[in-house]
Amino acid sequence: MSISDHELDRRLESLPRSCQPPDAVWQRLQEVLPDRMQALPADQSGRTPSRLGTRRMALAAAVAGLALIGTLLLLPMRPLQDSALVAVPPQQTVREAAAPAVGLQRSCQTVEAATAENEAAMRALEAALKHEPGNQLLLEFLAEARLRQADLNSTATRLAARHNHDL
Amino acid sequence: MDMDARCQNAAAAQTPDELLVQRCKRGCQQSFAELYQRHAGRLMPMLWRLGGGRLALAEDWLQDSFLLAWRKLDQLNEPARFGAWLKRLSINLALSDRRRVALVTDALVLEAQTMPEPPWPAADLDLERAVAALPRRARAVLVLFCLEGLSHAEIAAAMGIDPGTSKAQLHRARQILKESLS
Repeated sequence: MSISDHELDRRLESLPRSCQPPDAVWQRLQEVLPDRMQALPADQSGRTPSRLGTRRMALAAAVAGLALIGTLLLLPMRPLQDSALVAVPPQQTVREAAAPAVGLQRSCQTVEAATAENEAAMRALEAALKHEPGNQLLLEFLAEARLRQADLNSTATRLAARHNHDL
Repeated sequence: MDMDARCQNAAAAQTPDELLVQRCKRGCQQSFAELYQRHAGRLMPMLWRLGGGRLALAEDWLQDSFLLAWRKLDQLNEPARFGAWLKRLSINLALSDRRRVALVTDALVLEAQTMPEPPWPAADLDLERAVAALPRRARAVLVLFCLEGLSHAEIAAAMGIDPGTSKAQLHRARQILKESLS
């Protein structure tokens, strides 16, 4: 016999919503907080010298991050290519009018591809950060990639809703 | 008054978040430490539950949330609403971090078998463990709706699902909890 809804609500209500802030997390956070006031020159930043391999990996991840952000910035423009704002041959317009879900499906595929690219970039950035935890550029790219992931999830939801509506 | 003196004043218990945020924007880490002391304890139980009782994962999310907040402070238009902004930031971060969740899943199967223990004195350990053992999406919806007060529309937007799916997942989570707690 299962417990009642009332009993479950009562027990859920009694669960604590706060606790002591973990000191260990703050200690780690302090070590990686960048200085908002001034950027130190590279030779005074306190970072330990990196090995060449580590630097190459960090540089590759940074380039991948830049390329990814550039690609993702173009993403919102892509659906325009499926709209009437772009000059398309009449035959193509008729085809798309006959199958309105095709453009939408293409947008969904684009978002899925962007999500996969974003996840791959996050993996590369995290791997690079393991070797060079203090690299501010990599941290910034990783933060942007994570925010972008949330945006992509929202976009996927909207597209799925439109897809369901059209069906 | 120099920055150090202002930072020390900022640590006073009654300093509003708005003032602390403004000082953080000028680089005062002590003010940020005060914000951490005020808000980290409110985020931790939520993140621990969203992470299925994985302490290391919850701590990673907490650290990333504050790091992101520090970097994005200039984008905070209403400093008085720092707490709500930070909470939204950490929810988005935790929900979008499916990759890291997947990475630690295997390693944490053993931890799950030994039953998670919340890092606070648990008043209802059976319920905490039952919530932690829920399927990921059902758990997220239950935590955000029942414990954090988000609406189904907000949850749907954050998780990238339909509001109807959010309601269905909540029903599913409640059914599982009721069965497991009987």
